[in-house]
Amino acid sequence: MFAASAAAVLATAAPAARAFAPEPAALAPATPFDQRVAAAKQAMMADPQTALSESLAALDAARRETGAARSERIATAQWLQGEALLRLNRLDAARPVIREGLKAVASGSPDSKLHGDLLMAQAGVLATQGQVQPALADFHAAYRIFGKAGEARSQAIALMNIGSIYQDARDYAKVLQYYAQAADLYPGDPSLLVSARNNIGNALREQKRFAEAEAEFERARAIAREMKSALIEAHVMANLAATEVEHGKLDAAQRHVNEALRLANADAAAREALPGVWAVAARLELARNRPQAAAALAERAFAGVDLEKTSLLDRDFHETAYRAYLALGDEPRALAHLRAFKRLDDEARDLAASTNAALMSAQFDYANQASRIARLKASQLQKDVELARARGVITNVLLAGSVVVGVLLLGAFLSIRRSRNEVRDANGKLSKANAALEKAVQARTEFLATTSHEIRTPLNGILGMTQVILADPRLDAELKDKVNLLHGSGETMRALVDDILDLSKIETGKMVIAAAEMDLRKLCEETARLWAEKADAKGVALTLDIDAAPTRIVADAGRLRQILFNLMSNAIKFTHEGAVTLSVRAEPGPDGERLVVAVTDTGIGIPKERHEDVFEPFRQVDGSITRNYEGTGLGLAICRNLARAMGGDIALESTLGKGSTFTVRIALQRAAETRPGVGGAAAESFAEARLLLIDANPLSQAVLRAVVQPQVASVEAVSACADAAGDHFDLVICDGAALGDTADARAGAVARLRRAVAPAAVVVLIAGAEPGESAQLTAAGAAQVIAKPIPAPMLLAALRAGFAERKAPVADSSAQSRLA
Amino acid sequence: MRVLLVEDNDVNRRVVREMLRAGGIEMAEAADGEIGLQMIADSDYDVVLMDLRMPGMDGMTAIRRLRARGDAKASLPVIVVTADAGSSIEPDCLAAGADGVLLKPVSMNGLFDAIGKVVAGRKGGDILVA
Repeated sequence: MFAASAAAVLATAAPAARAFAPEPAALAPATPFDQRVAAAKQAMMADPQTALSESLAALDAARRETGAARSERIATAQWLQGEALLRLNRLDAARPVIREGLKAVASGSPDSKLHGDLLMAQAGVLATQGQVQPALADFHAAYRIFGKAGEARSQAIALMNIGSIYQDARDYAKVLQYYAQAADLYPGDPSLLVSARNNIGNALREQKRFAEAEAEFERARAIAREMKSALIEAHVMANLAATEVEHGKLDAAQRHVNEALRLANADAAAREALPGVWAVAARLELARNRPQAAAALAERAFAGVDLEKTSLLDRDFHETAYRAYLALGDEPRALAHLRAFKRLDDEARDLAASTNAALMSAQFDYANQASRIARLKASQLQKDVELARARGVITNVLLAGSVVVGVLLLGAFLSIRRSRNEVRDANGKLSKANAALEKAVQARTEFLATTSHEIRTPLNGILGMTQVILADPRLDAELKDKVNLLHGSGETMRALVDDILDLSKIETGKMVIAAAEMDLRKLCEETARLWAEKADAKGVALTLDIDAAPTRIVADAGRLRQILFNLMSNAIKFTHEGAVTLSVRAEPGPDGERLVVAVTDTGIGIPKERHEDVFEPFRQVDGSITRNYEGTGLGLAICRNLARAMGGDIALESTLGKGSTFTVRIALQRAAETRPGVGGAAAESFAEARLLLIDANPLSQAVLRAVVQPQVASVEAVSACADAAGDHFDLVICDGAALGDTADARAGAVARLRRAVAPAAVVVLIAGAEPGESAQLTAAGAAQVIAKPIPAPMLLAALRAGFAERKAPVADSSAQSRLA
Repeated sequence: MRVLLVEDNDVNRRVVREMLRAGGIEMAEAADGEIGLQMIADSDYDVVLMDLRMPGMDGMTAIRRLRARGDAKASLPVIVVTADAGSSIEPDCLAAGADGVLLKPVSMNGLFDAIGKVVAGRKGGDILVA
């Protein structure tokens, strides 16, 4: 007899084991084939390995036969082989064997019990592989075939198997339906009946129908007693007691726990039930507010057990243990059990969710069939009604008919809606946790945005006024120094607010990388120029190594600037002597070219064990250093996130006391090189020109910039001639007012400016020039003197002309250098 | 050159006034959107600087109302000056009809560049201001 193991069938929370089709004991075997088959069946539940070798021997025997029953016998052996392989979890091996058996039987004897058995075996494999829908179809087919073959017992087992699939999906209404049907269909086998009653009890308990559940367990218990199985009775008692605990009937639960303990200790086989009984006992103790006793039980049950490897059967016990330890203040243990509970609960939920999802389409099909049948019946009833009316005996038919139609349609509708709702519930539970997390992040983002707004408003006052003061020419040097300090501190504060917002944007995925064509070398030069003064003041050499860097690339210039700025700021901050080098180059990578940006310093260095820390927000190497080196402590965290957002990463090499190198590698996308090296040789066209504007009036400077910026490669601006210096400009446009108050003073200033910005051409833009001044300024070195106001198109035309004239004399030398 | 600043915070009004003075620009002030719109109706300005969060009518509403005017003043250049750093602020402002957005704290260069840009852009760059 092949009753499924009681423990598995009676499990509380675990997915029910799929029963092997048991059958009444066969008569004494006659042939070697019959002996092998009997041996295989005998060994199937307890020792599938033996069952497998017996089935192979049976197959061998069957193949040697010649009679009419040969193919059926081969199929029988294949069924047993498939069942054994299924139990050994060798699913891939089981499937072809079963399929072969099915092929022979489906044509030879389609209505035989063997056909049903093979379908059940196939369904078992499919269900184990999570292919719920075809498994369900096979169980249903097997059920129909067993019906034709008059095998009520096998029919009941098919129904219980279907019930167990719905148990996986936690569809307890369906579980009830199928197990109840199985119990009604074949009440003659106590082992089947006790399993059905017990599972019905569990399903009722899940639906909080406690009184009905308790009645079912009582029935199951009576059957177990008749079977004289202490193990099964102990299981049923434990389930009954667990229901009573939930029901609040603690005294009854105590009685049944005691009884279950007695039964579980009655014989060796029954001891298998002990952990389950302890679990319920612990739950009862907890319900009685005795966590100490509950914990003691948990301790006993889980002694020597790896909590990370427990099974679904232990899920509820873990929860009880967690609550008990928590109440006792033993947090480490509470946590260990909570983790185990969560792991198993997730497992159960995943199983339910996937089974449900798979069932959904199947249920839709059934529901649709049901509604089609309902509609057919409705039209049939309509005909009946018409017939009856014709006969003049309308009376009750109409009423009864409409009620029946209504019920049928309602049933179909509810069934569709329920399957939809259940899938939604399963997914809903999973997404609820995510939603909560999202909400918390959202709340923090909003908080940061508000805080940022509230800090920026007064900061606007501070930084605005320091700028106004610093722009005032009357400010004396000593005071300027102090205001500069004030301004610098305000800027640091602004950087902090910006950095915090950036981190928040990165976390919420709102950081947008907007790639566009840009000039990489120019960006590097600008960055170096920005830090040159600071490096110089500290006596640190600043080197720019961009000979191997590409010029025009497609990247987010603003974000790249942020990375360079942060790395340079860091390097200069932590270096007191020696050098800081910014080197940029391209290198081949596994997925195409990469851009390598490295900032190397000879600074204080970072100990190896802190290399990862520096990329964490608000971490500098140690607390004392944080005080010595001002900064937000967010720069490197942002650099790393930006580098990753650009398809790369940042790396650190450092030796304590010797220095550090931060290297950013990101995906490199080159732009079509339309404009040759802006950082190198002199520009050849106006579009490549680098301009410097000198204008003391910020508005006219801004308007001038707005007019010329779109036409040239780069525009810098200063407000006084004294600030204009460097050999990296092609054209310098100077406002007359910045040159001086008289024509002579202006001419002198032009001559000095010409030297300071050589080889750039100087264009003077002047309002109210003195008579003859234009010639005087040209003589002093101005390439052009343009009277203003002047319409923008005319100004641009004049500038282009001036640029072309300037270019002419150098054209030859540049051509020569290219030839050389 | 006449600029109208619509801003509720008096310290920040003073800051912008001082900054603009350095560029020789005269500035009129309004403490909320409603007053700002009234002033635009009553006199002529070249540029409007607009805060967003203000008691009474907020900046975004004021920009929409201004753009909904049926006359030439509807196309008056508007630069938003806000302490709101949200990532959707700039696209929202531009969608409402702003010509530019400046984030507080405002730099002097940023302020003049923004004004220079809208002036050069709106007037087709016909005159360079002396």
